[in-house]
Amino acid sequence: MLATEPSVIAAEPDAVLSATLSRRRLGITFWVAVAWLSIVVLGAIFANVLPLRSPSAVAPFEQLKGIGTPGHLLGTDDLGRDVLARMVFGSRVSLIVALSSVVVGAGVGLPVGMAAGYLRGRFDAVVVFVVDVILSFPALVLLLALVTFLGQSLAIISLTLGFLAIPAYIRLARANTLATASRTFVQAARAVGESTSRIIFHELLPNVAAPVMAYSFVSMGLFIVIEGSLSFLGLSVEAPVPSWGGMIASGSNYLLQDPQLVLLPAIAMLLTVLSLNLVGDGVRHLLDVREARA
Amino acid sequence: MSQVLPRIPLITRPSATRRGRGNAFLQFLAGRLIRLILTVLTVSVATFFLITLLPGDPAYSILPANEVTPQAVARVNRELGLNQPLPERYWHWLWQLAHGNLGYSYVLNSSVSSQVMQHLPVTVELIALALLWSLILAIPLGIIAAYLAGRPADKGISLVNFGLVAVPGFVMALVLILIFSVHLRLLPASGWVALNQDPVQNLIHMILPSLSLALTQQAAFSRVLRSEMITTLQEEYIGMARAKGLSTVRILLAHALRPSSFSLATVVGLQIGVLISGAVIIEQIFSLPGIGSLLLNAIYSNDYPTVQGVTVFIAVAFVVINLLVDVLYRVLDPRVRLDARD
Amino acid sequence: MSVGTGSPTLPRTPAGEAPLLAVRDLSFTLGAGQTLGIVGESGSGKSVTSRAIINLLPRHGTVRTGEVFLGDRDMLGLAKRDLRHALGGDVALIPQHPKVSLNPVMTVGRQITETLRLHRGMARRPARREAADLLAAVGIPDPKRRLAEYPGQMSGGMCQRVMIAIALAGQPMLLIADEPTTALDVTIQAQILDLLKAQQAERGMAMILITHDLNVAASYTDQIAVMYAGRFVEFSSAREVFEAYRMPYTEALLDAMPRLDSPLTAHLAAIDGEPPALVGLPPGCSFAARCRYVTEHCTRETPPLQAAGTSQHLYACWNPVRSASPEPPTAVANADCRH
Repeated sequence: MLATEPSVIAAEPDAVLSATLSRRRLGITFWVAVAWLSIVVLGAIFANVLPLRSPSAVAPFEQLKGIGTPGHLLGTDDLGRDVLARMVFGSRVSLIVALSSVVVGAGVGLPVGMAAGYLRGRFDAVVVFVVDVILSFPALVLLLALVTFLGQSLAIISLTLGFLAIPAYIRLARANTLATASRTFVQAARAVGESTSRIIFHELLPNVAAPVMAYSFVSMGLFIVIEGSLSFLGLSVEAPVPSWGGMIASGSNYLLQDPQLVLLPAIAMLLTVLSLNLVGDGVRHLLDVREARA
Repeated sequence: MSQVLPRIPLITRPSATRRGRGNAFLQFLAGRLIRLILTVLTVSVATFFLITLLPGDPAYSILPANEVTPQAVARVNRELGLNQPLPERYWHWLWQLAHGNLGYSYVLNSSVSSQVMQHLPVTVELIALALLWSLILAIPLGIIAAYLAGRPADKGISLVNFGLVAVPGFVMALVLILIFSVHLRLLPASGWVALNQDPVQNLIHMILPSLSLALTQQAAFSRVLRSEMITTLQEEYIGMARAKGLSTVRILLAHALRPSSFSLATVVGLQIGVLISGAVIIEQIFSLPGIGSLLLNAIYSNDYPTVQGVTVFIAVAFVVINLLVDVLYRVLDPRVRLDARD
Repeated sequence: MSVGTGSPTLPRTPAGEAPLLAVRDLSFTLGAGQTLGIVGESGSGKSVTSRAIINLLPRHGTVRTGEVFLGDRDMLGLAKRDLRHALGGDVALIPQHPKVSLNPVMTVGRQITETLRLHRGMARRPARREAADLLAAVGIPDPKRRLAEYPGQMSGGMCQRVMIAIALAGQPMLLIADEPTTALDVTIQAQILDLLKAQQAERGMAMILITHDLNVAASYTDQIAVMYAGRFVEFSSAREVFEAYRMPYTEALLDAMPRLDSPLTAHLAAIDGEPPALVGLPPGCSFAARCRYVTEHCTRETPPLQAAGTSQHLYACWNPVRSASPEPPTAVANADCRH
C-alpha cells in the first residue's frame, strides 16, 4: 500500500526517534536496524553458498515440522520445505523489487524533479500536473491491472513499482530544489556567474540528494510491503520461487496448528520494513543535524 | 451604452463581500473539475491500452477457453470494435464509459457494470467502517499524545504507532484472525452477511476486516493530529481559553481539536487511496464479496474485460473522491474560506 | 482585592541555576470601582504580575508565596475547580493581542456564549440574546450579525471590543487589562479605554490596567504602581506619581515623554541602557546601572519599599528625588544626550 505523500507520513520527524537519537550520534536502535538489514542483505546475496537446505526441495515425510527440529532450524512448511531456507531465498525477491523500484523511481524522479524545481515555468507546471495525475491513482489497483495484462515477472513488477514511485520522488526532489535554490548560497553562485550545470551538481544536488536518500529507505520499506501483498495474492513471481508474501499466503491455511508458518516470514518482513524506516529516519536526522551545524 | 465606472470601495477587504467569496470558490471548483476531467481521460486512455497489451488476438484471451468458436470470436471483435483503427476504438470505448458501460464479461456472463454495482456496497461499507474505526482510535490517541507530549504516555503511543505503520494490512488481518478467531473464537474469520438480511451479523463479520485496515491507518492519522495539536496548543487563544476558566477537556475538544484537524483531513483524503488498495487484499482474506474480490477473481480467471472495467471504475471513483475531499476541506476551514486567494 | 507580600517567581532557567525572578514583593489593595495602573517597560514583569495574581502561570517551575485575595478568596490557594470558576467569572482578563486571543475557527458569538453558559449558567437562546446585548454594549454595530462572524473578519479594534464583551459576560469583580490598546491604532486607543472606564463605572468593577504608556496611566487610573525588573518601585495615587514622584526611574520615564510645548529641536530623552535580564539579578538596586543618582550604597543593598512619611506613597530608593515640585521639570529642553 503506497503512501502517496512522502512528506506527510514518512518524513515526519518522529518524537520517539528524536528521543532515542541524541543530538549528534545515532542511537542504538539505528545500529540494530543497520545490523538487521545487513544480515538480510548478506543472506540474500550469499544464499547459494550458505549452509542452507534447498528452498524448493519437497520432502513428503517431513511436513509441518516445528521450530527447532533437527536439520530444520525454523521447521518445515506444508510441503516439507525448509522454512529458514525459504525465508532467506525469499528475501531476494523482496530486496530486488525494493531496490530496483527505488533505482527507477529515484533515477527518473530526482533529475526530473530537480529540473522542474530549478527551471520552473511551463515545464514545472506540466510536471506538477502529471505528477498529480499519477498520484491520484490507487497504486495497488494499477499494479494489479498491469500485472494481469503484462504478466507476472520480477522485471515487470519492479518496473511498474518504480514507475509508480517516480511521482513521489519528483515531488520530493522538486520541493527540496525549490527550497535550496532560494537560499543565499545558490543565489550567490548565480551572481558570480556559475554555469547552470555546475550549480545543479555542486550546490543543489548535495542538498537534494540527501533527503531523497533518506526517503529511499522508507520507500523501500513500502515496496517490500507492496510486493509482499502481491505475492500474498499469488500475483508476484510464480512458484516455486519463494517469497515472503507467498509463504504467508500458504501458511495462512495452518493458522491454528502452525502459526509460525505465517508469523516467521511476517516478522521477517516487519523487522525489515521497520529497520528501513529507522535507518531512513536516522539518515534524515543525521542530515538535519549537519544542516543545523553548518 | 453608458460607461459605468466600477465603484471602488474606500476600504477594500478582499473577501468581505459574499460574492467575492463565492467567486473565489467557483474558480477553485472550476480548476479542480478541469483537472478531474483530464485525469479521468488519462485513466481511460491508460486502461484502454491495457487490452492492447495482451498477446495475439484479444478475443482469444477474453473468451473462456471452452467458448472459443469462430462465431464467438467474430462477435467479440464486433462488440469491442477490435477490427477498427485505434482512435475509433478508443472513442467507442470512451463513449461506452460515459454511458456507464464498463464492458462485458464473458466469464461471468454479465455486464461489468452490473457486477460492480453488486459488489460496490460491500467495499463502501468496509472502507467506511475502516475510516470510522481509525478515527475513533486516532483522535483520542492524538489528543492525548499531544497534551502529554514528551511524557511516557506520549512516547509509548508514538513507539507503538511507529511499529504499526510498518505492518502490512494482510499481516495485520492474519494476526487479528489468529487472536480473535482461532484462539479466542470471538469473531468469524471469513464470510459475509448482507446488511439488509441481518445487520448485526453483518457488522460482526465486518469488525475484523475493518480493524485490519484501521489499525495501520490510525497510526498515520494520530501522528499527524498529534503534531498539529502540539502547535495549536501553543497558540495565544488556548492560553486565553484557560483564562476564561475552561476545563482542560473542554479546551482540548472544543477549542484545540478543530483548528488542528485540517492536516488530519488532508491525510485522510490522501489515505483513501491506500484504503482502497488495502481493501482489495482484506476482502480476499475475509472472503467479502466486494469490488476487490471482484477484481482479484477476474484476475485469477483471466477475465480481462472485468479487470479493465473495474480498474477504470476504481480509478475514476478515486479521483472523484479526492475532489470531494478537497472541496470539503475548503468548506470546513473558515480560515481558508475567507481567503479570496486559491 | 488585596495582594499580600510575597514573591511569585517564574520558572527556573534551563540550567536550573539562578531562578528567574519575575515578580518580587508586591502588596496592594484595590477597591471596587478603582483602577490600579501598573506601569513599566517591556520586560519589567507587568504581564507576569497580572497572570501571577490570578494564578494563571504554568504549574511546574512556579513558586508562589503570599496571598491574593479576591473578595474573600485567596486566588493562590484555590483548588483547581474553584480557580476555574473564578477565572472568566469573578476576574476577567483582557489581553494585549486581541486578534490572536480569539479562536479563529469559532464564531464570535460562540466564544461569548461559552462564558455565559459556563459562568452564568444560561441556556442557549438567552445566552445568544445576552451576547448580542453585550456586543452592543461594547459599541459593535449590528451585533446580531456579528455573532455569526469569525475573528478573522474583524479588525483589531473590533476584536478587542469582543474580548471586552467576553470579559464582561462573566460579570467580573475585577478586570485585568493587559496593555489592551498597545496593539491597536492610536485612533482606537482612546475609544477602547473610554469604553473600559465606562463599563467599569457602570458595573462597579475594580480594574488593573497594565500599560507602558504614562499618558494612558495618567488619564485612566486612580493609583499607579511603577514596576521595574519585577518589582514595584513606586506606588501611589496617580496624581502623586506624576507630581510628587520619588523614584529616579519614574523621573526618567516622565522625562522621556515628549511634550507638546517643547521646542521642535529638542532632543528626546531616553533612558540609557536596557532593563536587566530577570535571571541572576545582581545585588542592590536593579536600576543602579542606569540611574542618574546612583551611589555606592545602591549597588550594595536593595532598597526596600518604604513609605514617604505617613502617606500612602511607597517607593524603593536610597536617593529619592526630594524635590516634590508641583510641575514636572521641563527636562526635555536640557536633557543631556548620553549616547
